[in-house]
Amino acid sequence: MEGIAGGFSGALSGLQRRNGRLFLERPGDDAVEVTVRYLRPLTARTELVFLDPKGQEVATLPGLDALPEAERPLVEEALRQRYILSAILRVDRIDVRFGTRYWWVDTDRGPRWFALREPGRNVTWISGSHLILRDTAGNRFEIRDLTSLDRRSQRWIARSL
Amino acid sequence: MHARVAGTFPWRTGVAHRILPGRPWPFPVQPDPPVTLLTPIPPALAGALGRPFDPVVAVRGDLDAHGRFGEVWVASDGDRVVSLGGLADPVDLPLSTLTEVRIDELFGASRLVAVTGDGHHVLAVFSRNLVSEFAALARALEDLREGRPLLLPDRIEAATCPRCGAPLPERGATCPRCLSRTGILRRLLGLLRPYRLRVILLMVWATLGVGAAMVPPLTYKMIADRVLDGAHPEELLLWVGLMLGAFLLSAVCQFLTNWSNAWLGARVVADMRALLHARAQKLQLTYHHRHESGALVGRVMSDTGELQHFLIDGMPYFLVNVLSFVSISVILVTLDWRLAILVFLPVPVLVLGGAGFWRVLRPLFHKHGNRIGRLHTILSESIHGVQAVKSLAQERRRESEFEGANEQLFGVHVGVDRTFQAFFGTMSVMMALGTVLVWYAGGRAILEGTTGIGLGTLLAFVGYMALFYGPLQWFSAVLNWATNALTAAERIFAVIDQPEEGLTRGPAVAPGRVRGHIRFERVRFSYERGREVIRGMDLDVAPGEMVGLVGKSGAGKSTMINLVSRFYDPDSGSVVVDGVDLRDLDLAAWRRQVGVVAQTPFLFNGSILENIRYGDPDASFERVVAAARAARAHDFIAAKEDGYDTVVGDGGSTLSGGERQRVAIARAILHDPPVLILDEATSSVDSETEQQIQEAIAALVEGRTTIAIAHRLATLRNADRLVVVEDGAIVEQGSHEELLALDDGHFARLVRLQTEINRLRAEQVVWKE
Repeated sequence: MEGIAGGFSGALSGLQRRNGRLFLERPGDDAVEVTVRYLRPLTARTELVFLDPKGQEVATLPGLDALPEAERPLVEEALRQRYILSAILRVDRIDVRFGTRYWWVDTDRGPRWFALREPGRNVTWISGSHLILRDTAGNRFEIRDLTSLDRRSQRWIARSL
Repeated sequence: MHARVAGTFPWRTGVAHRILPGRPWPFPVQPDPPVTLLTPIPPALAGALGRPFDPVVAVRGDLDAHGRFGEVWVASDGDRVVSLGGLADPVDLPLSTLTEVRIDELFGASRLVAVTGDGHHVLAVFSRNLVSEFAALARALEDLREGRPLLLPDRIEAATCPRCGAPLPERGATCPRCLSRTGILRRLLGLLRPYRLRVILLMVWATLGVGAAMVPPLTYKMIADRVLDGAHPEELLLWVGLMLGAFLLSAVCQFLTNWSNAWLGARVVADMRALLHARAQKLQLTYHHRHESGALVGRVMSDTGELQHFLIDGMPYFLVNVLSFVSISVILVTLDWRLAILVFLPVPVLVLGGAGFWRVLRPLFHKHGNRIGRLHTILSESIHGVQAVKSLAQERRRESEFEGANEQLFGVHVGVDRTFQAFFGTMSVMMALGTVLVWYAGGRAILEGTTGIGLGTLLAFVGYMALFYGPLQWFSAVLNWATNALTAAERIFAVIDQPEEGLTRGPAVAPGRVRGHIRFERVRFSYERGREVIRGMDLDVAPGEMVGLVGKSGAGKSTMINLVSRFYDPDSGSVVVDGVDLRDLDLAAWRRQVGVVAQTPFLFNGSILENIRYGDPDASFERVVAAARAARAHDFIAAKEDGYDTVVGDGGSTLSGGERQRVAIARAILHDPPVLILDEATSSVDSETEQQIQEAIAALVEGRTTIAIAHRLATLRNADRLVVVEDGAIVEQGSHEELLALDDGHFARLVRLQTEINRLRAEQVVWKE
């Protein structure tokens, strides 16, 4: 062993999409079905890990760049389908009733009305202006840059959180 | 950054601007009709199939094929499964071609997938709001696919409020938006009903006190108008005496009000705490499973504390001040309405200012609390983790982290105090302004002498004004306080209103001593909807038989014994004892017949004697000794300085693991249940203790139907039958030898793995020495 270098696998290629599933061709072996995930889904959506159906690691990559250009869209699509994290674009109102905060928001997936409780536990501050919310049902919402929201939205958030 | 989606809200575009009748703004969106297991499919969509379609199950999903919030229907008519809408091509598959219907967990959502020979078909993607509905749908599709009769759950607890459509804090909870404050207040006051007389007395004191406080300013007027102008000098003593009497009466009444209220407030809170504790004991285990125990303890202690605070300090304040506010207003207007208007002039400013002040202060308080919490965390981490910090050489970093948090707290602290001071400053100026106005206008009126306002009236006004303004600035504070207290009350009532466990379906069957014939009939169970941990299990345990459950952790063994103890009820299927469904059996009577020896037995803080007797406090000491002897515990207990009176400490902390185990076994033996549940400890103890525990268990098992989660070889050998559980289903059963003989069997594999681990452990011991 040479120290602990080599956290990432080398370049990966041979990804294919069949019947809505992702497969990895392996030279001299059967193709294996893989699912792709982010290693740091909250703080940095860059590094990727590919898992086989049993949940065992097949490969870990530093990012999409480690894939041949032709295969990137496949992975991007798979990631887009797995990570249902709505980006909040505008906050229209936040109401507090008996400790439950109701948010009316517009997101990149469309308008939504959700309930938030115990912000101490369900709001993760990634940085001073980047936060991820978990509503009472377990859905995730993200505000990537608080300062890029309009002033009204910012005022609602500042008053509530 | 992101492109703004403009005009996506119906109430903004005005196209579908609908505000529900009777509901106040904000109520922007007409809520979607609730999702049921037979949600009507829009005819236009069903028409796309080009054939008549009569669904037996249909669920609406809330994300479309592009991952946007939308609508998609998944339905089946018993022959085919279809997915309609969702902006993708419809899926239309014969159920017979499916090999599996399953739910894939995604990040923040899930999807329903139909697996066929030629691939995976995503039927729908749905948000976490619909987990229960789609879990039921998946199970229904599996039933249909395998040709079983369709068994839909009787009801799924609503995720949205049926009245206003708001997302509920949790399924089946009361909707905070539809909750009325007055309703909660009424319920809270309802708790006072048993103490009616004291309440009436309290009201009497309060009213009397306020009445007395109204008198002194009137005496100023009398002294000025009748005595000082020389008309009735002999009356001076009379009015001064009246003033003194009124002051005294007011003080006494105030004391009595607070005196009786201290009792009442504490009484109500104590009642509530008792109610809450009793209810927490009877709650279904599902509640405890879903909520952290800390939250419940917090509810019992801090929420009731908040309530007490409000009831003892807030309520009388409110009562007394509303009374004096009204009476002073009436008196002022009667004395002179023109001056009264001047007094009232600053009132809106005081009230609105107070409200505004609280709006500023509340988030500051919140921040203050958060930052104190953060500081606490850092401090306790630094102290508890001092070794880790030192060994990673991160003292500097801890220091700067603490400093950062400390400075932040300092900032908020200054903010809070300055806001307070600014508020008080502004308020005194406003009040002073009122006083100045009254003196000016009153003074002019007296000088002109035409308005009928005399010196007496002016003095009375000045006297009343002090009583009038003071409390006003705190009105909004008390309202704020009331909101918090009502929130606490709501949380408490929410627990009190939870369903009790152990409700039988019909009249409860009270069993005599059961024989102990236990059967699982197609039992399905999940702690959380959508994650089934027992998948259609059948098992038959004969009276007196000892069955050992074997399998990896998470296979469902503990759930099986929880179902036998009826800590939970199956989602479908049934657990049957001597031919009677557990749900028809009187719960307490059943539990008395089930002995449980848990993996980490829980001992109550008390003596060993009390612990062994816990299930049967009247047992004679001789029987206790007999049970302890059978449990191989008598020797070690006798050897202790305090013998059977040895106090075991919190959770049994003064005993060793093996000792605790044997005390628990003695407790179970004394309990003498026909059915025994044994959850063996995985942790290893020294071999002598091990042998004693084995002997104790052997004594305990004798003649009882036993279901054991077995880890130890001896237990596995002693069991009449081993049942291998994997992934919520039984995969193998038979005796120890039979299962070992199956070369490729699950059990044989588990044992091989275990032997390997033991070998490694043994080597480790040698190496250590």
